[in-house]
Amino acid sequence: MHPYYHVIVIGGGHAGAEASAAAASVLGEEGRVALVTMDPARIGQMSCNPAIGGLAKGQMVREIDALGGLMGLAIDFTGIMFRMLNTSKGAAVRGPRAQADKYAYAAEVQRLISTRCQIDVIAGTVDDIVVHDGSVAGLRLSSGAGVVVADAGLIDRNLAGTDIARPIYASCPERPGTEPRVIRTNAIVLTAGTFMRGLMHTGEEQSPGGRIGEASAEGMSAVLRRLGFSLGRLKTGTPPRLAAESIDFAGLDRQEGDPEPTPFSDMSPVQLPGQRFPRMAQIACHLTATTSQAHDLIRANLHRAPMYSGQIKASSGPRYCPSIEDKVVRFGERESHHVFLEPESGYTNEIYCNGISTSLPTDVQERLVHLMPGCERARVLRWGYAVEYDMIWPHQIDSTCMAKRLPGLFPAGQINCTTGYEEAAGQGVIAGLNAARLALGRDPVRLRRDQAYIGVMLDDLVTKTPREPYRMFTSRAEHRLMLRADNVDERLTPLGRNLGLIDEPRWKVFQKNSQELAAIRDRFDRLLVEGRPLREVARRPEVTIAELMGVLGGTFRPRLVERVMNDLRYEGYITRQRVQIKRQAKAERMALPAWLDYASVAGLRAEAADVLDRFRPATMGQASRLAGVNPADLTLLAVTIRRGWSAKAQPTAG
Amino acid sequence: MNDRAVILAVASPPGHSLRGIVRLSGAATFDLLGPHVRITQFASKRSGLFDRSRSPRSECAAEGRYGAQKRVARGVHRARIDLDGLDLPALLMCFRCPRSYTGEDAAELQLPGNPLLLQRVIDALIAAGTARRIPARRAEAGEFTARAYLSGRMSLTEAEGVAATIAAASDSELRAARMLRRGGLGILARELADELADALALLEAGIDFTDAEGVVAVGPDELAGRLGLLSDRLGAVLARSTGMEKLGAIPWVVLAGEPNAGKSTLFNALLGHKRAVVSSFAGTTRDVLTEPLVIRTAHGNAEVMLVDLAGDTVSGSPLVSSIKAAASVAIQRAELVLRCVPVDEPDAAGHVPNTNEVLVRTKVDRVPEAEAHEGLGVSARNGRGLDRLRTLIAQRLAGRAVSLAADALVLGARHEACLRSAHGHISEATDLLASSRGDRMVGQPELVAAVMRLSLDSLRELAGEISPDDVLGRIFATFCIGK
Repeated sequence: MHPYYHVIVIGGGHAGAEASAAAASVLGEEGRVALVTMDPARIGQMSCNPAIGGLAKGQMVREIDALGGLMGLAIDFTGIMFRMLNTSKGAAVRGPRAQADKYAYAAEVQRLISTRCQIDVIAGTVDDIVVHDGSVAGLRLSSGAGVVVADAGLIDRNLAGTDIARPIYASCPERPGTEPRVIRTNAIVLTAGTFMRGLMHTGEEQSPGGRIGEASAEGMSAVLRRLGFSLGRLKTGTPPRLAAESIDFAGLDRQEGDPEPTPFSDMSPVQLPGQRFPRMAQIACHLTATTSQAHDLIRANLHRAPMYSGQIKASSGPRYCPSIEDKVVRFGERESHHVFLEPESGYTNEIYCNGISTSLPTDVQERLVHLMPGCERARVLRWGYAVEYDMIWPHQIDSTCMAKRLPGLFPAGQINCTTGYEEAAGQGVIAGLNAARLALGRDPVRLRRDQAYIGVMLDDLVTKTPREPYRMFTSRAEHRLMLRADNVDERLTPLGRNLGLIDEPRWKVFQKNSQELAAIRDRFDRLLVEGRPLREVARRPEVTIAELMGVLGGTFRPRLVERVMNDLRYEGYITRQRVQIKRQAKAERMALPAWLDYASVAGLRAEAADVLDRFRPATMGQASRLAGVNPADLTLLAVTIRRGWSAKAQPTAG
Repeated sequence: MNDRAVILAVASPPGHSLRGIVRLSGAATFDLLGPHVRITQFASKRSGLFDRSRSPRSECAAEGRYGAQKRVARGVHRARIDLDGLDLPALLMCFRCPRSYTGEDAAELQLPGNPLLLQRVIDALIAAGTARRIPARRAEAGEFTARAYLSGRMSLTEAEGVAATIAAASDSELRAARMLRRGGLGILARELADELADALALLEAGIDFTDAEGVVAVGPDELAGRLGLLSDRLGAVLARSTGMEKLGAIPWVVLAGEPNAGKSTLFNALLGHKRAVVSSFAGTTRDVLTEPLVIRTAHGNAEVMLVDLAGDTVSGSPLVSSIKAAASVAIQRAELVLRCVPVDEPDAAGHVPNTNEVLVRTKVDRVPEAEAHEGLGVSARNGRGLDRLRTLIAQRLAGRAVSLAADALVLGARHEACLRSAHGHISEATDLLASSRGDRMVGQPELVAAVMRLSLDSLRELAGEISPDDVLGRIFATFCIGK
C-alpha cells in the first residue's frame, strides 16, 4: 500500500513553507503533511533581495501572521534592519519593511517547520501527478527521494545563537529510496517558484536552473501541459553580490533602520526565542549610484544583454523592478540611478546591490560595478543573472488557489504569475488551508477584497490577465483604508481561529489585545477634552499619540491607542466604503456553477461569452471584474443562474 | 427580467383613439400569434416569403397561417385576428430577431383603438399561450427597453434616453432626451472619468512608489489645479442643466368651462394644430388633454402646458366621474385657469373667480366686434383675440415658464445625482488639499485618493459601467409599459 498524506506540498520556498504550516494547523495532531523539495537545506531561502515587507507587502506579512503564518515570526527573529516606510503619510499606506540575515532566516523557517510534527520533509523531485477520475490522487517521486529529519543539535545551537546561519535540514536523505514510488493524496500544493524549465542567463551564457547552483524542474511543465494547463513564460532577474571587505564605505551615505524597530508579528517578542526583539544585531546600509560612464558602458553592450539580444524569449519582465539595462534604455535622460548596498547576513561578507539587477555578461558587470563610487575595487562574489521560467496562467485557478480544471491541485506562489516572497507566502497560506479543508471534506475559503490584501491579490489573479509578474501595491486595494497593517488581527484572526489556523497562545494574545482595545475605545467614547468628546478631538491630524496617552491615562499600549486613533481618523471614509461593500456583497456570494455553458446563454454577447468561458469565474463578483463583461451581461447571467437554466436543462418549450 | 416568456403590452397612448397598438416580444412571439392570425394581404416585396406564388416554403402561409413557420417575414401585413370570439381587422408588423427593438422576435398589432378591446386581446393571447404551454405575460414597466438593453441593442444611457423620451411632454425635454439617447452624457462622463483617473494615478504613484527614484509625486498645487479644471467642467454641466422633474413642473394653463363652451376649439387654435377632437356635440372631449404651448416672453421663447378639460357637466357614469376627478386635479395644480364662457351665454351666476383665473369669452365671432362684454373675447374661428390671449398668458406666467435654452442639458434624477456626487467629491478632495497647499507633498494623500475614487465611481456609474443591479432596477422602474 502506498503511503497516504492529507496534503502534499511541492516546493519549500515561501509559499511552500506557509502552505505546509497552514495545512498542518488545520489538520491538527492527526494530520499528515509532506513537504517535497529538491533540497531541504534551502527551505525558506531568499533567492533575491534578503528583505521582507514594504508598502502593501508589509501589510501582507502582517496578514499572514494574523492567520498564524510563519513569515512574521521568521523576520522578527532574523531581521537586521527594520524600517517603517511612508511614515510621512497616513497609517493606511505605511508599510513595515525589514532586511533579513538570509541564512538565519532560512534556518528559522526550517525550525518553525520542524516544530510541526505532522510535516514530513521529503528530499526529492516529483516525476508525475497521479490523477484519478479527474481529481488529484497522488504523485510519483523520482528515485532517491526520502524523508529528511531536522538536526536537533543544530536547532539548539541555532536558538542559543552559537550557530545561527546553518540550515537545520540536510540536503539529502540519509537512506534514500531507490525505486520511484507513489504517495497518495487528494490535495497537492504546487509551489514550483522559478524552477519550472528555469533557464538562467548571464550575457551569452545560459544554464538550466531555478536559482544559482540549483537544477531546474524540467518535468513538471510537461506534466501540467499534459493535464491541460496553459503555461506562460516569465522573466526576472537578480543583481551581482559583492564582497563587503572590498568596498570602501567611507564616502557613502549611510542608511540606518528605525531607532525603535516595529515587529511584524503580534507574537513577538513573546514567542521569539530569547523573548527579545530585535534579536539580531542591527546593521546599516549604504547608498551608492551608477554613473554616466556606466550607462555608456551598458549602452555599448546592450546587444550582449539577453533581453535585448532576443536570447530571452519571455515577453515581459516586471515594470516596477527593471534591470539596470532597462532603466538605462527607458530613462535615457538620467545620468545616475541609486544603488543600495545591503548586507545579506551578519555571518558572511555578501553585499546585495539593490538597483542593478542585470543579465549582462560578467565582464560588463564587473566594469559596471567598478564605476560605482566606493566599489572601484569591489570583488564580485556572484554574478547577476536573469532567469526565465514557466508559469501557469492564473485564470486557471480560483481565488481559493485550487485549479479549476483539476480538483485537488493548488498552485501557489510565483508559479501563478506573482513576484515577491510576501505574495508567494500569502498564497501559500490560502493554498495550504484549502488543501487541508479539501482533505477534510470542507468547503474552500476565499478572502474578500475588503478583508485582506491577500484577498485582493487572489481576486486580481483570477480576474485579470497579467502582463507581468504580479506585485502588490496599496493602490490595488480599493478598500486600503480598512486594510491596514495595524488592524490585521481584527480583520483575520477570528476567522483564522474558526478555520483552525490559530493556536492557543496566539488566541490569548488576540483576546488580550481586543480587551485592551475595547477599554481604549470606551474611554475615547466617554472622555471629554475642553468640553468636546475625545473621539472628535482625536480626529484632528495635529493631535499626537503622546497627547492622547496623557488624556487617556492608564497603562494602555501606545500602538493600540494609535490604532484606535487611526480608526477614528478614517471612520468617515470607511463608513462610505462599507456602503459600496454591502452593495457588492450579494454578487460576491452568488456562485456561478461550473456547468454553465456561456456560449449558449441566450442574448449574451460573444465577447462576454468568450471572456467568461476563459476565466470561468466562481462568483458573480469575480465575473463583474472581468474586462469585457458589462453590466448587461451580468444581469443576463444573474437571471440565467436564478432560473437554473443551462444548455442541458433548457426546457424545450422555449 | 430576461426570462423567455413572450411579453405583451398596449403600446399606444392611454385612452380612446382611432388605432391602438399591442406589442409583443419574445422568442415564441410568432408561435403564440400563429393560430390566431389570418393574413389577408401580405406585405409586398421583401416579405414575399408568405406569398404562395413566390415561396415554396410557405405552405402554412398558403392557408394564411404562419404559426409553424420558422421564418417569419418582416414587414406589415393586413390580417384578421381570430381570438376569443373576436374577429378583428388588424395590421400586423413583424420584426425578426435580432433586427427588432428588443433584439428578439417581436410584433405589433394595430387594432381598433378601444382600450378595453386592447386589454381583452392581451388577456386572450396570454390565456391562449398558457393553454399551449407558451409562457406569455404582461410586460413589466420598461421591460421592452430592458430587453433591448440586455440583448445589447442599446446602452444604459440610451435606454434611459428612451425612458425620458416616452415621458417627455415638451420640446425641451424631448431635445434633452435625444441628447441622452445619443450618448452625449455618457461620452462626457467617460471623458471626465479619464481625466480624473489620470490625476488619481499621479497621486497613487506618490503613495506606492515613494522610494522609487524615478517617481516625482504630484504636488498639492498641481493636483488642486487639475481638480479645479474638472470641478469647473462638472460645475458648468450642472449649471446649464435642468432636472427632468423640474421640467415636469412646467406651469399649467387650464381651459375650463361648460361642455361645448369652445374649449377644445380654442385649445387647437392656440396650439396652431389639431390635437383635440372637436365636434359641435356637447361633451365630445372626454379626457384631459395636455399639450405644450410655446409662448414668447421678454427673455425669449418659453413653454407652458396647455390643458383641455372635459366639460364640467356631470353625467352619472363611472367613467365620467373619473374624468371629472382628473379635471379637478388639473384645476388645482393650474397656474392659470382660462374660464371659457361663450360670449352669447351668461357667465355662471354666483361664480367667485380665483386670482389665477381669467374669464375668456369664446365665439366672439358670433357678436359684432363693437359689442361690449366682460372678459377677454376670442374667436378660434377668425383668430380674433388670440394674440391678446397669448400675451396675457405670457404676462401672467413669464417667470414660471421654462425657458428653452438651446444647449440646456436635461438630466434624469440618477444622472444629476451622479454628477453632483462626482462634483461634490472633487470639492471634498480640493478641501483636503487646502492644508498642504504650497508644500512639496500632498498631505493625507490616502484620504484625497479615497475621495477621488468616490468621484470616479460616480462618473463611471454615469457612463454605465458599474453597479448593474441597483442602477438597472431604478432605471427600468421609471419606464411606462410598452417601451
